[in-house]
Amino acid sequence: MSKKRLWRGIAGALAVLMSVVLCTTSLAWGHAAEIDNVLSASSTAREPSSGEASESVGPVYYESYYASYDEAKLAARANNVQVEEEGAVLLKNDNNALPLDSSVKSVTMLGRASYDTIYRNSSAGVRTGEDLVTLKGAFESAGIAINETVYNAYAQSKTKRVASVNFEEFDIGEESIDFYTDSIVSSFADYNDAAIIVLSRTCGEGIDCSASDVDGINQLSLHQDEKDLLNLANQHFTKIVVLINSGNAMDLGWLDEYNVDACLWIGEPGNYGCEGVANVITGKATPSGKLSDAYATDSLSSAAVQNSGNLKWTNADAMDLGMISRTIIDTSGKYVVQAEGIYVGYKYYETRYEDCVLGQGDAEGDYGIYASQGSNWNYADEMLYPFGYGLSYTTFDQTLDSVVFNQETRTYSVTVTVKNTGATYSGKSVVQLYVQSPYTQYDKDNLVEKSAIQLVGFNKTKSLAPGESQTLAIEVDEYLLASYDANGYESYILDAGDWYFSIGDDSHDALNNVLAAKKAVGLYDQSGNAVAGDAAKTYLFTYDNLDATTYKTTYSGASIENRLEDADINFWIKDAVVYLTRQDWSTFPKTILIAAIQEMTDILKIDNQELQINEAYIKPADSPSIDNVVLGKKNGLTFVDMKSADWDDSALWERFLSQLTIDELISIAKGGGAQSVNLPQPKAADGGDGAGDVQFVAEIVAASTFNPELARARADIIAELDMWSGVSVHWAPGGNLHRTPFSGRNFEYFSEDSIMSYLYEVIMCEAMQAKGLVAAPKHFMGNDQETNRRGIAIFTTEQTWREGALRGFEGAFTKGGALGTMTSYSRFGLTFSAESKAVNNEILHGEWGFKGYTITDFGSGSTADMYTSGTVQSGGSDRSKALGTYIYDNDDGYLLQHLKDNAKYWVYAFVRSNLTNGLSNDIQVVQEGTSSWKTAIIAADIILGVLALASIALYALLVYKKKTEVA
Amino acid sequence: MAALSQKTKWFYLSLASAVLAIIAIIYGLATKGFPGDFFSEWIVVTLLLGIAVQYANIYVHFHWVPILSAVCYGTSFGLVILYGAPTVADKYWGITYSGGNFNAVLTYLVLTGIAMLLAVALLFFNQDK
Repeated sequence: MSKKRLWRGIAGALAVLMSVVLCTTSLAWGHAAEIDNVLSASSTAREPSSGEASESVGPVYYESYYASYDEAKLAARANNVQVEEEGAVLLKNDNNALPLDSSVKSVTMLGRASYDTIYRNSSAGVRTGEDLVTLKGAFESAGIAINETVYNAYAQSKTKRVASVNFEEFDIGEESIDFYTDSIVSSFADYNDAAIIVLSRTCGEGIDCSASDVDGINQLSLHQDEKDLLNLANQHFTKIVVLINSGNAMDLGWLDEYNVDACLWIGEPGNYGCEGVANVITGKATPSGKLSDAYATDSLSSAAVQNSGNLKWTNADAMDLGMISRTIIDTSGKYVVQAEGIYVGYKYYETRYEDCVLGQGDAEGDYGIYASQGSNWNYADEMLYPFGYGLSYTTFDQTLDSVVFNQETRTYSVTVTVKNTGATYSGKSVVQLYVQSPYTQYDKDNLVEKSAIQLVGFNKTKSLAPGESQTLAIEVDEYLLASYDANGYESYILDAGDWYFSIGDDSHDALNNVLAAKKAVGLYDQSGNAVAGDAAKTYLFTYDNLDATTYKTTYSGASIENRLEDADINFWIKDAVVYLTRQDWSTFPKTILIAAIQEMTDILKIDNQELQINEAYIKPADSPSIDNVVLGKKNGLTFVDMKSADWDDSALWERFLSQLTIDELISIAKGGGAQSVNLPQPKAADGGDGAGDVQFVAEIVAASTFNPELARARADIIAELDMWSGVSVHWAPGGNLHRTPFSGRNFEYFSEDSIMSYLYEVIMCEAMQAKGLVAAPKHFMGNDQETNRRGIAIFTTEQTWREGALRGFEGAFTKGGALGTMTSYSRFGLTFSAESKAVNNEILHGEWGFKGYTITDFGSGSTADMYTSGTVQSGGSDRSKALGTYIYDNDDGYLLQHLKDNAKYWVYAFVRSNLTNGLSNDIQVVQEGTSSWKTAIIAADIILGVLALASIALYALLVYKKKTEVA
Repeated sequence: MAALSQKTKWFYLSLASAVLAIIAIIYGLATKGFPGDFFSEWIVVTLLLGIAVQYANIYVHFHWVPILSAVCYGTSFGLVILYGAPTVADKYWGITYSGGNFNAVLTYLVLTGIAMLLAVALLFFNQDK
C-alpha cells in the first residue's frame, strides 16, 4: 500500500471518528444533568479554609444510627422483609390452605413469573442487586424444595413479557400450554404437595397497562395461557396457591372457577421482599395487609377508566401544533377530562352501592354496567375485593370505644380496641377509620359531590397473641372531613347534618355499618350475601350549621378561593361536559371526544414551539434593570450561618441573598452550588422504591401494610442510606393517585385514595426531613396516567383537583414538612405544571406555606415562565447559558429578581439537610468547574482533533510532495 | 470514469456504501423512528452529500475527495446516535421515557454504520487499477 493511500485512510478514519465523537459529545452535553445524577458528579468540593488538610470534619447536624453503610443496609433489608410480610394481602384462603403446614415439603412453582418475577417495575431508581432474594431462593431457605425441572425450563425459555416499551405490543409473557411437555408434567409427581402459581402484570414509567393487548383483551384480565395453566394445575395438584405479582389491580373473579385454594397479592417485592412472602406462606408471619385499591370484577368498569389513555383533540391533526414539543414526545394534542370527578376507585363503587340501597339517583340504572348480571347495576357483581380488604390467619374483633373532639386543635381522637379472637395464630390487625358526611340539598344545589364513605385514618396493632387485646388511637384532622365547594363559598365546607365515623374490615364493611346505623335495609356484602351491618361500630355526630369559614383560611393564613377554574373544560367550552354526580347516575362518564377551540389551540401552539427560555414569556413593562437587583455584596454571611434563620426575617435573608452573583443564581437554577456563600452542590436520588443500592419493596406494598410506624421506619432507613451515600435530597415518595387500575406507575404510588396518600406523605416526609434528607415528593401533580404524560392537558372540577390530585400531596408540605418537590409533565388545563402560578405560587407556596424548592421532572425545558412561577430548578437539559444570555441581553431584572427569590427556597431547604454535615466556616466550598466526565470528554475530543488534523496535514504534505515530484 | 469501467474494490466499496446510504434515507423517512416520530433532515442531508461527493469523485477524481464522503457518512452515523440514544436508553431501562421505535433506530445504526465503515475502508484502496 502506498504511503499516500495509507495516510489518506488514517486521516479519513480519524476525521470520521472525530465527527462521530462530536455528535456523541453533543449527546452527552444535552443530557448532562442526567449523567451528573447517575455519576453523582458535583461541581463543588470542600476544602479547609486555611488551605491545609485538617483532621476536623466539622459539626455533624444529622447523625446516623449505624456505624457503616453496610449496617444501614442490613436494617433496610429487615425493614423490607417486614414491609412485605405486612403488606402482602391474603385475598382468598379456603379451608385454611395457607399457611402451608409442615407436611408440605416439595412444591412446583408454575407460571413464568415464578422464574421471571417482577421484583421492580420500570422506573427511576436503583435496580435489584446481586444479593437479590428470589422467590425460589426464599422458599428453599424456608425448607421447601422447588421443582427444578419446571424452574429450569422457564429459565431456558425464550418467551418474554412485553410492556410496550418502544411501542411493541403488550404481552403478559406467559407460556402456552404446549410448553408443558410430558417430561415437565411428569416432574410434577415428585413436587405435588402444592402448586404455587405466580401471575404477573407489568407496566411502568411511560407505559400504562393496556385495555387491549396482543391477545386483544384487557391486560389485567385472565389470559388463555393462564387459564390453560390453571387447568393443568387442577389436573395434577390438590392444593393450588396463586401469588399475584403486580402493582396493578388485576381482574381476579376467576379464583373460584379454577379451584384456587389461596391467593396472596405480593406486589413487587424488591431485593429482599420474597423472604417476607415465604414467611407468610409458611406461617412464620401472619398476613395483615389490606388493599390500597378496590379490586373490581372488571377493571374497565371504574368511572375513571372511561376517560383515560390516549385521547387527542378531534381537531388535533388540523391544529398544526408542530412536531417539536416542550418535551421530547409530542403530546400537545392530547388531553383527558376526568369526568368521574371525585368518584375515583372505591368512592365510585361504594357511593353507588349506598344509593342503590337507599334508592337514590337511579343508581340501579344500566349506566356503566360491566359485570352485573341483568339490566340493573349491582355492587356484588361489579366489586370483587373492596378497598381495605385483606384476610388473616386469625380473627379479630374491633370495638369503637370513643370519639372525642378537641376544639382547640380541631381534631377528633378515636380509640378502638382490638382483640385477637382466634385460637392459633398471633397476628396484627388494621383499624380502618372512615367517615360519612351528609349529602345535603346545599351540596346538590352547588354540585358539591360526596363519597358515601371516605377513609380518614388508620393504624395497626402490634402482633396480638390469641386472646390478647390492644387499644389504638387515631387522630383525625377535622380539615380532612371537609369538602371543597367551588360553586358556592369557594372554600372547604363542613355540611350541616348527621355525620358518621365508622370502622370496618374494609370500605364496604364500614359503609354497611353506617347504613345499619341509618337503619337502611337490604344490605349485602361484595359476594352478594345479605348482611346486617353493625351500628355499634359507628359514631354519630352532628353539625348544626354549615361551616364555610373555619377552612376558608389555610395553615399558612392564606385565604382560599378557586384557583383552577381554567383547568375545567367547561371554562373553555361552555357545558362541554357533565361531571359524574350522585344526584343522577346516568351521568356515568362516557369517553369524551372533543375539539379544542381556537383560543385553546393558540395557547397549545405557544407551548409547542421549539422551546426558548423566553417562550411565551413577556418581560413586564415595569421590570427593573438587572442593575437594580442587589447582588454580589460582601456581607460575610455563609450558607451554614442561615441554619437557624427565620423564614420571616426578611432583612437577614436579603443580606444573605444579595451576596450571590448572577452566575450563582443561574447555577442554583440548575441545581448547583454557590462559592461566594459556601453553598455546596447537593446530590440527589430519585424514586421512592430505592435508596443507596437497595431496591425496596414497592411503595404500593408499603401502603398496604396500613402501618404508620412501618412507613416511618421505611422513610428513616431511606434517609440513612442516602446519608451514607452523600445524598441530600430524594425525589420521593410518590404522591400521585391510582386513578385507574391501568395507570403505569401505581406500584410506586400509595393508593387510589388521596387521603391515604396524604397520611402516608405526612409520615414519610416527616421522617425523611428529621434525618436531614430533603423529602421531595413527586410528581406534583396530576401524573395519574403515563400515556401522553409529557404535556397532556388534564381537565376536571376544582373540587376534584383539590380533593384528589392536590390532596394526595398536600400533607407532605403542610404537616410533613417536605422541603422539595418534583413537578409533573402534565398541564393543568392548558398550563404546563411548572409554569402554573395557580398551583405553584398560590396553592403550594401560598395556601400551604411551602418553603422548599421545586424541580421540574427530567427532560423538561427551562423557561422564564417557569422561574417566575415559583419553580426553582430545571431538571432538564442545561439551558443555563441561554438563561444568562437572555437576562443580560434583555436587561430583565424581573426574571433575575425571581431567580434571587427562588434561591431563598433552595437555601432554606438545604440548610435544613444533611448537606450541612461537616460544613462550618472553617470549611471552604470551592467550585470545581467542569465535571470530571466532561473534562475527560473534552480531552478526548481535543486529542482526537489534534490527531485528525495532524494526519490530514501529513496526508496533504504527501500529496503536495508527490505533485511536486511529478512536476 | 475509470472506476466505472474497471470495477475496482474501491468501486464496489463505494457503490455498497452509497446503496446503504440510499436505503437508510428511504427506510428512515418511511419509519420516522426517532422520539417524536421523526427522521432528522440533517441525516438525510449528510447522507445525500456523501453520495453526491462519491458520485462527483467519479468525474473529478481528486485523491482526497473520498475523505469528505467518509466524513459525511460518519456525521450521519453520529447523528443517528445523537437522536436515537434516548430510544436505546428506554429499551435498556424498560421504560417509555422518550419513545421512538427501537428496531428502526437499530436499523439506522446498522445501515449508516456499515456505510461509514465501507467509506473509510475504501480510503485504503486505489480508485483505479
